Amino acid sequence: MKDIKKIKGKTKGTRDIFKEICDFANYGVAIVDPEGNLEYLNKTFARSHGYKPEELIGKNLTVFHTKEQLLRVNKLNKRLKKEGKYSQEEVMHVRKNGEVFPMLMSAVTIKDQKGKNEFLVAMGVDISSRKNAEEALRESEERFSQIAENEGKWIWEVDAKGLYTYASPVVKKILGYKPEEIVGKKHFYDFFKPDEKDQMKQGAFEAFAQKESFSDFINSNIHKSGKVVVLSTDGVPVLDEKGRLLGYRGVDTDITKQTEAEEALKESEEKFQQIANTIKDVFWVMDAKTGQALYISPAYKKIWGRSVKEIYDDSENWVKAIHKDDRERVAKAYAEMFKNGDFDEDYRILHKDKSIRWVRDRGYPIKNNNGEVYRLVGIVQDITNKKEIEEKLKESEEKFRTLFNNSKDALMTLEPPTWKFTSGNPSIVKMFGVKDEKEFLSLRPWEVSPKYQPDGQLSNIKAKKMIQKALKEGINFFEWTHKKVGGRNFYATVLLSKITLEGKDLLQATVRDITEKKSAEEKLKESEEKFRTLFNNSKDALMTLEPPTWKFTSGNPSIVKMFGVKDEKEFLSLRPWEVSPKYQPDGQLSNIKAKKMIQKALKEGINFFEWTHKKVGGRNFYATVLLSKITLEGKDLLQATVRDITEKKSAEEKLKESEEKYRSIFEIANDVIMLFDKTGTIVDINSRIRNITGYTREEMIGRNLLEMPEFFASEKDAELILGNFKKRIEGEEIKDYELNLIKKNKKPIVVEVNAVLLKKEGDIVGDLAILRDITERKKIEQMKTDFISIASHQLRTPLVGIKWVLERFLKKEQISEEGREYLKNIQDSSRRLTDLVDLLLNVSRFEGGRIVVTLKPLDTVGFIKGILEENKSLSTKKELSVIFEKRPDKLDVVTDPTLFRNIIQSIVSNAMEYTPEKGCIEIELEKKEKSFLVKASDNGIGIPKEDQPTIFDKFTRGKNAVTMKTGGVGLGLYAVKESIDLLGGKITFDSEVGKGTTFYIELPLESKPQKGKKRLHKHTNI
Amino acid sequence: MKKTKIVLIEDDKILSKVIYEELKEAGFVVHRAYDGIEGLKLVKSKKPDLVLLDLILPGKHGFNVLKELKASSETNGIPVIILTMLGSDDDIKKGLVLGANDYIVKSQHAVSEIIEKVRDFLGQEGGEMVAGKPVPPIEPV
Repeated sequence: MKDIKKIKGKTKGTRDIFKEICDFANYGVAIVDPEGNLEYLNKTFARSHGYKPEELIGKNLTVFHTKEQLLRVNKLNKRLKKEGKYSQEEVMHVRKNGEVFPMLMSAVTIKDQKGKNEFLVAMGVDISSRKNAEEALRESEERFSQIAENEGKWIWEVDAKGLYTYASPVVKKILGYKPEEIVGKKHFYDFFKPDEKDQMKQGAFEAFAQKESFSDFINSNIHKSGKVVVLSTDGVPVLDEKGRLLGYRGVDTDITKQTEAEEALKESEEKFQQIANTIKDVFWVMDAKTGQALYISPAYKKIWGRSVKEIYDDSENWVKAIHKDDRERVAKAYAEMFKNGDFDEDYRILHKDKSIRWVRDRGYPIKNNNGEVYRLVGIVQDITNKKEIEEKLKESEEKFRTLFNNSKDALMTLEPPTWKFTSGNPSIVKMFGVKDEKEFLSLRPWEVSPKYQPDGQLSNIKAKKMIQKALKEGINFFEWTHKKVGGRNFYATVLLSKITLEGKDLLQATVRDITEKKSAEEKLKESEEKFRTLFNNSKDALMTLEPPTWKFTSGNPSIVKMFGVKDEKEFLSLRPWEVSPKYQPDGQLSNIKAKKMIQKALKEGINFFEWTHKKVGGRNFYATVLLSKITLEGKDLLQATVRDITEKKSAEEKLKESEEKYRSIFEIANDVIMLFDKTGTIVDINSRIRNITGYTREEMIGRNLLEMPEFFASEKDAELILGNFKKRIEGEEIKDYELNLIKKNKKPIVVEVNAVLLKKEGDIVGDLAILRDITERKKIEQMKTDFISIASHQLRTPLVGIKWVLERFLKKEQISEEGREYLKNIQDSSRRLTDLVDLLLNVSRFEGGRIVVTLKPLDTVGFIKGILEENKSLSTKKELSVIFEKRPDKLDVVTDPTLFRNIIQSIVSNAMEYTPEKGCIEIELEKKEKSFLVKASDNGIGIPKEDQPTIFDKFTRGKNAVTMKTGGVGLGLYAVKESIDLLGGKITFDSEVGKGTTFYIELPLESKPQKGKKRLHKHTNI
Repeated sequence: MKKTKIVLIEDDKILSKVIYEELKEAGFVVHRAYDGIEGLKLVKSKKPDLVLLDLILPGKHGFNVLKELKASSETNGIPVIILTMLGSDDDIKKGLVLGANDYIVKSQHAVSEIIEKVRDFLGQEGGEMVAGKPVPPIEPV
C-alpha cells in the first residue's frame, strides 16, 4: 500500500479516502503485484467470489479463472503489458463454490518513476446478479403476462382417432366431467351439440388429415348437466419422427360466459394483442417428467432464430443454444428448480444468425394434487439491450470511481452542519457553471439544483434526505437533476459516500452528467408507462391483495366505479367480503367462501370463478373473478381481475355473430387483408399472407412495416405503403399501386395494393390494405412486351433492306413504266409494313415504361411540312387537298422529335386513310402562352358516338373504320395518346359520323424530361 | 489529295451492300466488316477517316467496339457514327456518352439520306478530307 502514496504523492488523507471508498464501493477493487498475487482487495471483490478478503491476500489471480478462460486472460494480460490498461472486458470468473459467473473487468498498470511495472489495479463488477431499474418493468410485464396466459383454459390431448389421452382438471369446470371420466373413454366429438355434430366432426377430421394446427375453432358442446357450452379450441398436431399423426394437443377456452359488449370484447382482444405485441417474451410449458416442451410461444422464433418446431422435436435444442460458458450454470439452476421451486437465470444464447443474445429465463414448477411437480411453466425475455444498457451504466460507474482517471465527473466533498462544499475538482467549473472553485465553495447542493426535483419534491428537502441516507448507510447512489448557476438543468447521477477523516464524518460526492444516457432510460420508463396505462384504463377492476389480512393493497381506477367506493384510499381499507353480500347464491357465507377461494388460488396458482359482489352501500352485481398467485420479491400475493357480467346477453351475442362474420370473411378472402396502425405496426393480418408470402400471420402481427426489410424488395416499398397512407390521411386520392415484396423463400413478388382508412369514432386509427398477388400477371405482361420488342427489331432489319434496295433499283435501273409501277407498289407495301412494325414496337415500349423522352429544340412548322411531304404519294393518289396555312412562319419548341413525329404522322395518316377521295384535310398550328395547339380536321367518315369513349384504347377502332379499311390494328391513336401524355400535353376531338373529325393536340412549348411511367394495363388482350 | 477512307461495320449483308455501293459512288473509299471483332481489326489496320458502326453485331457488340476504339491512342481520334434501329433512344444516349460523334436511325431514312449525313458530317464534297474532328468520350454523369 505504500505505493499508493507515491502515485498520488499528496497527503496521507488521499490514501485513506481511497481505501474508504474502495471498502464502500459496490464494485470490486484489487491490487495485484507483477506476478499476479493479490496484495489488497476490497470486500466487494472478495464477496462476489464468495470469499472473505483475508482468505485471498497473497493468492494468485488464477484462482478466479476457469480453464476455458485462461487463453483470454493471457490475451488481456498481454494487452495490459502493451497498452498499460484494458477496460470493460467481460471475463468468466469462478466463485469459491465453483459457480461460474461473468465479471466486467478493467485494469490499469501503475509504473514507477523508471517506467517499470510496479503493480496493477483491477476493478470488476459481478454482472450476473445485478438488479436495476428495469426490474420493476419486468415484474409489471410478468404480472400482465400471467393474466394473459392463465385464464381458465382446458389443456387436452387426443389420439389420431380423437379419443382423449389427457385432459387437464379444468375440464371439470368447463364440461362437468372429471378427467378420468373422459380420458380413454370419450372422443372430442362426443361432446358436440347433436345438430352440429356431423358437420363439426367432419371439419375436425379434415384438419387432422392435413396435420394442420388450428386456432379459434368455435364449437358448441353439451355439459354434463345438459346445458350448452361454447368452446374456442386451439390445437397443434402431435407427430411421430416419421411425420405420422399421433394425435392433437391443445387448449379449450370456455367462451360461453363471455358477456361483455362488443367493445369490451374487442378491447380485451386489443389489450391482449397489445400485451403480446409489447412483450415479445417467450412463454413455455414443459412436462416435468419427460422434459418435453408442451408449449412454446411463437416469440421463441424471434429470440432464438429457431423454429418452435425444433424445440418440440428435440428438447435438447434449448440446451444446445445456450452459450457454452453459461451452459453448466443454467443446467445446475434448472436441476435445482425441482427442489427449490423456481428458476431465474440470465444467460446467453447463440441466435441462429450467430449473434449472442442475453435472455432472462424464469420458470415455476406446477404441482398436482399429490404435491408432485408435473409441469414447469416459464417466461423468457430478451434482455440483450438491457444488458447493454447495464453495461454502459456500469462502465460509467466504474469510470467515475476510478480516482486514477482524469475524470470528467465532478468530485467534491461536503461537510456538516451546513453541507456546503468544502472541496471540488476542476470539473465542477464546467459542470455547475461556476466561475471558479471559490464560488463553488460558497454553495450548497440545492443551490446548484432547480427548485423541484422531477418527483415534485423540493430540492433542498430531498437533498437533505439523501445526505441522511448516505450518512446512515455509508453510501447512497441516486439520480438528481442539477442546475448550472444561472443556466439550464441537467441530469446527473450522484454517488455520496460517507468518509471519516480525522474523526469527522463527511461526504464525498461524485456527480456525473448523464443528460444523454437519460434518454435510453426514459424509453424504458415510457414502456412501463404503457403498462400502467393498460392497468389504469382497463374496464376490469384489477387489484392485488396480500396476506395475512387479505386487504386490497392496490387497485386500478376501475375499482371506484365497480365497487362504489369514494377513492382508492377507501378501497385499500377493505377486504373482498366487504364488497360482497353476506351470502353467495349457493348459501355460503361470503367471508368463508372467499377465504376458500383464496386458499385454492394459492394452492393451484390460479382460480377462476363467479362471484356476487356488492357495491359499498349499493346493489349486488355478478362478476367473474380471476385470482392468480404472483411472487414479487419473494412474497406470495394474489392479483385479481374482476369483471362485471351483469349486462344483457342477447345484444352481445348479435355483436359477436357479426364479429365472427367479419372474421370469416377476413380469413376466407383470396387477398391478403392487413390492418396496420398509424405507426405502421401490423395489428392484424389474415392467414392468406402465408399462401402469398410464406410468412405466417403470427410472424407478421406486431411488426412494424418500417422494420421488416426482409419483407420488402427495397426500403422504398415500405415507405411507399406508409407514404400513401399518410397522403390519404391528408385527403389525397391514391389509386391502386404496386409493391415489390420478397417472399420468405427469397423470391420476389409483386402485389397490387388497395387500401382504405380505418376509422374509429371518426378518428383515423390506421389503414386496411388489401394486397393482391399480381406476380403472374406481371410476368405475362413482361413476356409479351419482350416478345414484341424483339420481334419488331428483327422484323425491321429486312424491311430496311427492302426499302433501300428498292430505292437504289428505282434510281439506277432502266425499267419500263409498268415495272416501275410494280416496284412502287412493293415500296408502298413495305412502307406500310414498316409503319406497322414501328407502331407495335412503340406500343410495347410504352407498356414497358421504357421510353426515354429525349428533348431537342425543333421548328414545328418545318417539321410538320416535312411529314406532309412524306405522305404526299397517298394524298396525291386520293386527290386530297391538304392545307397547312393557318400557322406562324416559324414556331420553335423543345420536345422529343421521335414522339412528336409519331403523333403528327399518325394523325395525318389516319386523316388521309379515313377521308374519301377528293376530301379535304386541314392542319392548323397556333402558339399559346405556354403551349402550342395542333388542330387537324378532315371531312372523313368520323368516329361513331359509341366508340368515342374508347377510341384511345389499345386495339380499338371505329366500327365504320373497320368496314372501310381492314388493315388497321387499332394501335395508332393509343400510341398518340401515350406519346402526348409523356410530353405533358393533352388531346381531345370533335367528331360526327359522315361529317368528319377534328383533333386538338395541345403540347407544352417546353416539355419536361421524364421517364415513361410503369403502370398496369388491366385490359390487355393481345 | 487523298480520298476519304470509311470503315463500315454492319452485319446485315444487304444493308451493308447498299450503303457500301452508295458511299463508293459518292467517291469514298470503303472497307467493310460484318462483325465486331473483324471491324475492330479493320479500323486498326486501315486507320480510316470515319467509322460507321452498327450496334447489334455478332462477335462483339458495337458498344464494346466503340469503347475499345476510344481507349486506344491509335484510334481514339477517329470519328464514329452509330447506325441504329428506331426505338433505341437509350442506345443512342449511351453511344454518345461513349464518344460517338453522331447517330443515324436506319429505319427512318432513305439510304441516300445516310450518304448526305456522312457528307455533312465530314464537311466535304466528293470525298475529300477537310478536317477530322475527333470527340473525346464524355464521362457518364
